[in-house]
Amino acid sequence: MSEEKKKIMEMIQEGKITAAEGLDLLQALEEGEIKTEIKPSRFKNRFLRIRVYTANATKVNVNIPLALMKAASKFVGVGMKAIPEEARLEMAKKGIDLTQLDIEELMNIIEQGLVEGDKIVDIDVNDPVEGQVRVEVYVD
Amino acid sequence: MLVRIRTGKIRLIIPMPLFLAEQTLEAAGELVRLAERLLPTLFVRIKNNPKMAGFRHVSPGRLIELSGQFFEEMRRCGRWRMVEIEAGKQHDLRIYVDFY
Repeated sequence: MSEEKKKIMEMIQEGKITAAEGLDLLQALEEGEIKTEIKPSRFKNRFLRIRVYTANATKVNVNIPLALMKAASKFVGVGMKAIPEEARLEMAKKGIDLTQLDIEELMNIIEQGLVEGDKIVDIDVNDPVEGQVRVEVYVD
Repeated sequence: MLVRIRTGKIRLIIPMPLFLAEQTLEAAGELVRLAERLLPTLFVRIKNNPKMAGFRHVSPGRLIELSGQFFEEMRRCGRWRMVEIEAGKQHDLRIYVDFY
């Protein structure tokens, strides 16, 4: 029996909480344990895939394991600070603020399966130099 | 990690053992941390260098340590192809980055 469960049982015995409240706490604890058990396997063998195809036959495939992305999310803060000031200002002019990018939240959304099977990014443009360019980002 | 580059007749395979990179970074991180304590003025000068403005908030030792952790995570991912680039009309240029 885990320490938390023992503590809940003691609280019921001492009359600090009712049996029903104790049961609720035990259920919440078990749900929490199940969630933490599921978490690591949800990222196993899953990838964030970036596909770029152009009309002039250039093909770019980038595959990033979700487990690696999760680990990389702690480096994001350092990476954001490393962006040169002039580049940051240039992006700000175009309305892009990378400090607003919440990788952890993005990982949570992926973890919950909210983007399963859907394309996160699906762009099809006609570039004057490259011709037709298609960019897809998805999780599988 | 294997980096494979193919351009027409030239084929180049660059093997890079990740555990070596990881251990090198780990050792370098410890050395840099020691140097940070022994030569603080040098690191203050490096931090104040305008070219290093982006890294002012993080110590060089920590930066190396984080890079080492990243390599460690990469090794845990097993076997996968990270990058696949094919360019040119007959895909003359091909670049692959594989992890084993």
